[in-house]
Amino acid sequence: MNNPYIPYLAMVKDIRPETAGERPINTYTLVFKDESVWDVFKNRPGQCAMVGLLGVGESMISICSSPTQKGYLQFSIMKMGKVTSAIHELEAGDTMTIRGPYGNSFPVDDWKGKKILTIGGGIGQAPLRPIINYVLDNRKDYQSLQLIYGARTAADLVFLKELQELQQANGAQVNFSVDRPEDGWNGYVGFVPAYLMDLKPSPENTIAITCGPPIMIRYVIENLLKLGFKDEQMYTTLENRMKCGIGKCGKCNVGNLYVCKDGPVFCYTRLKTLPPDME
Amino acid sequence: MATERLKEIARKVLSRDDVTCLIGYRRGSYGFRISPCFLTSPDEAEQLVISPLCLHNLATYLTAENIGPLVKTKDEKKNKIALMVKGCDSKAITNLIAEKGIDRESIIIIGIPCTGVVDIKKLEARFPGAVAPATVEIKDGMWVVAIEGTTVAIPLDELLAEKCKRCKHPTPLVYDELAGDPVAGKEDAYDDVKGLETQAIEERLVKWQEELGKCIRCYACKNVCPLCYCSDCALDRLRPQLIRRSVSVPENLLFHVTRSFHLAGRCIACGECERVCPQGLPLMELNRKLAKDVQEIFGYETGLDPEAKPILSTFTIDDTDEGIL
Amino acid sequence: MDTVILKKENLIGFLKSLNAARLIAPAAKKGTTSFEVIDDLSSVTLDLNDYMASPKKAVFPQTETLFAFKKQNGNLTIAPADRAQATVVFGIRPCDARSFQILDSLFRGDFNDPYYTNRREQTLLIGLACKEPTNRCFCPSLGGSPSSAEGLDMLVTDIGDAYCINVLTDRARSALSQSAPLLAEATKEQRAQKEQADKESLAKIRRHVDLQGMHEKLPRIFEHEIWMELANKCLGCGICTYYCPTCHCFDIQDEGDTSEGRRIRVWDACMFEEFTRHASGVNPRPSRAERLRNRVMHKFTYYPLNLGTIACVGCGRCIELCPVNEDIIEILEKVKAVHE
Ligand SMILES: Cc1cc2nc3c(=O)[nH]c(=O)nc-3n(C[C@H](O)[C@H](O)[C@H](O)COP(=O)(O)OP(=O)(O)OC[C@H]3O[C@@H](n4cnc5c(N)ncnc54)[C@H](O)[C@@H]3O)c2cc1C
Ligand code: SF4
Ligand code: SF4
Ligand code: SF4
Ligand code: SF4
Ligand code: SF4
Ligand code: FES
Repeated sequence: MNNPYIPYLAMVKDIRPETAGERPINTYTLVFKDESVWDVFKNRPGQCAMVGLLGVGESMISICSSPTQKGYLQFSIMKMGKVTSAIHELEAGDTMTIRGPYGNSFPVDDWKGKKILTIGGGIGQAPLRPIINYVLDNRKDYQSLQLIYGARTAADLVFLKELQELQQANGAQVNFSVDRPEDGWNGYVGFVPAYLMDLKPSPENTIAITCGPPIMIRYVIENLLKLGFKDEQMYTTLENRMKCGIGKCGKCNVGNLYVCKDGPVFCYTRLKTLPPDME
Repeated sequence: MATERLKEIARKVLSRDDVTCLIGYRRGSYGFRISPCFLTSPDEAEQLVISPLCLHNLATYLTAENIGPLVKTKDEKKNKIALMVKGCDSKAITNLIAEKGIDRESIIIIGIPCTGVVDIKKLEARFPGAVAPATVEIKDGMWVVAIEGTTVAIPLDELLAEKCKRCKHPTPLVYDELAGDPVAGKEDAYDDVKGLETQAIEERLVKWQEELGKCIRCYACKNVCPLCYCSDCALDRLRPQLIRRSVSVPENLLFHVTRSFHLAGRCIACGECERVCPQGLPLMELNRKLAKDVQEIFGYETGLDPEAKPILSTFTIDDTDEGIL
Repeated sequence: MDTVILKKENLIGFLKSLNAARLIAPAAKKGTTSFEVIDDLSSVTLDLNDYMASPKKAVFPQTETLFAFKKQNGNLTIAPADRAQATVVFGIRPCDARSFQILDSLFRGDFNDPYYTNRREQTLLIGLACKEPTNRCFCPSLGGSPSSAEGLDMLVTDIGDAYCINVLTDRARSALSQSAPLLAEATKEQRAQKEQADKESLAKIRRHVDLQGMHEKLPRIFEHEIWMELANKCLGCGICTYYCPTCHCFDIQDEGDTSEGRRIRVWDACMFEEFTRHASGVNPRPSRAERLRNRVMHKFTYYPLNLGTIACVGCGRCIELCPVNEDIIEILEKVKAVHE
């Protein structure tokens, strides 16, 4: 019988430090020990997986690589508590576990022919990354790609180097911001929602996807509405505490929806109907 | 009538503009049950009851996890909570004040001199099935149970809660108002722990393994306890994890040993943990044994004096080695 | 379906004749009666008047191993827990049998939960119609009754001088292959006696709640202050959920160390503060008000919306055991009384 609680074994192929500080973020590149897992593990942009360490536990983490990147999975993990701290102790070659992929995904194929605008804050850039990579790998299918991405300081910006390269190479528009002024920063200074109002992207034929702290999401959506975006043009992801990932353990519901199974991706048309069961 | 007196006091207290709410007792939803209630306006005082069915130690709400729903107002001047307490309950308050868990100024204590409460399990076993409101009072040294139109008189010791059989302080030790005349206390010779003390160690092991095997770790005992109020409880922690989540005799043992030791010299023997336990664990045996030890070793009795220094947070050069728990 | 008669003195012999690898039945255990694995048939409590805990743990144990793991010479092995044994649950109440169907819809849903499903498939349910419903029972308000046969393989009814057994499924029929000598076809009078017993027990139900419109109303008063008023006295313990036969929430934890250990699941409950707290310390249900609301809404709105059935069977355990008289019927009545 197929057992959704038994994880696949994966090897840590590479660890790339993204940010430092009290809550550092590393990006882990994992490969399944058993190649045949790929026959059943079909991730789509926006989906998550339970990554873990046997003897410690599991955490739900967004798969931040795109399905177009074959043969490995990437996860950007912030050091928070028990499990994520233990993951931060790992070295290349160590074994981790993966269950999934879980949840729904961004309807990237429905968005073909449109302008894609991602608005991220902090670690919230992780679930947006597979969209960006997917769009870049199918560049001709999309009209344009614009990124707005902010963090507390420049050192807190995840994937900074690859996003900077992207700006030069692929004709994507990349806009960075930091919350407070700092030496050597010549980008925008201020919060992401304010930067959005500064940049005033046009809603015309555009899909806006925003991920980040709940408070940021709230103001971004408020501002997108002001810019004329319609409910069905806005997407976000939700986060809740999770254990099973498959809608059984009861931890992650918002109203009658389970974020692990019915989310994490929510179009604003649906988000609007949820009871205020979040912070 | 004590109840009339109480209502009068409650109306007066609830009319004060510095009082957020009054925590008291009202009729419950069926049968013999009484419910805690949270009143905010003087006209609600009519609901209040005093009866031997008022089992709950309401002092637990003073430190309840997330007092949020309790205190509806952020008004700086409206910062007092009033509550009804029996003799035993008042010791929880005394001890909370001594531990600096609460501020005496923030509460208004309505003392209820107590003639004893019933053991609800015994009562409901005797009168199963009551749905319509049923009452119990003490008249001429007997319980008078009124249920579905009939009244039955029952000798006191048949239904009296264990703790009340040896209650030294039925009249609250701290209060601002007293709803009734003081009641004299009884002797307490710790007879209830003699069984445990005289039992051979092997027998104790067998008995407690069986008892601990029943515990389902619902945490009702911990949550109802007025003195279990640490916001970061050792029993919940994941890092480091003292107690595994799996429910088994060894983990349950660790849970109960940790809890009873954290309550040594602090438990005021209101018996709430044992009352609420859905699995019928004799938790008071542990707590009372430790209370007795603390009394014998340190000559300290918990909950008598709000100015007292909490015994296990103080140290004197004369402390014996036995006192190191 | 077949209706047969068992003499009361043959009950133990009947249980033996079922040849169950594992029998779970009510037994006395230090002051309480609960469903236990029976080694000695004489320990079965035949006076099945009242027992608190539901036999939910027969299919969904409080603590269970999902798998064990071991690292040896650089090799990591994961061994899933053993498959369940064939089990007979005897003496389950009709409400509890209905709760198994409610649990089925979740655990067997879009992701099949192999631990639950395997146990469930291995379990034969023999119900006992309630002769004396308690003062907390309100199963008829939830579409059940003290003699409901829903979800059962067999239903046993005490008809005074004998037990009347309704054999309801093919599984039950094959389980009875050795029992024939103890059973006799029910006579017309005995069938009438059974019907009479059903009528009498139904008439003894004393609590009721009308749930018309409940699942639609709850979301409309999501932000009403009533939740605070209701939750004030709640202690946030695990009683109402751990005893509820339909509650299914759990936590997953690893025990052992990185070289050897096991991953377990253990009951958890939405009434605990820690249940939804994020690693950042933020809690989307910061107070007892949001938690109580979730419990009520999960049972009476979310479950019906997602799985087509209310997640309450009216067993009333949460009512009787709540230490502070947080009474689900009273809560529902107060919800109905909220003026919109
Ligand atoms: C859909 C989804 C996508 C996510 N994507 C990412 C991602 O891409 N990158 C990323 O870094 N994170 C992501 N997260 C967040 C990540 O899952 C959590 O940060 C992680 O689970 C924390 O686990 P931990 O064991 O380190 O935390 P811990 O806090 O040690 O333990 C796990 C749980 O125990 C509780 N807990 C126990 N004790 C305490 C205590 N003393 N204080 C506080 N809490 C305690 C917490 O509620 C916590 O949820 C995502 C979450 C979701 C739901
Ligand atoms: S212990 Fe004393 S004060 Fe407490 S209920 Fe019994 S008699 Fe009343
Ligand atoms: S109340 Fe009883 S069952 Fe619940 S945790 Fe305490 S001892 Fe265990
Ligand atoms: S409602 Fe009652 S049983 Fe449920 S958590 Fe609150 S106090 Fe415990
Ligand atoms: S909610 Fe209460 S009455 Fe309903 S099934 Fe659960 S325990 Fe029984
Ligand atoms: S969410 Fe709460 S009420 Fe619903 S099944 Fe889980 S514990 Fe029970
Ligand atoms: S993580 Fe278990 S229900 Fe969503």
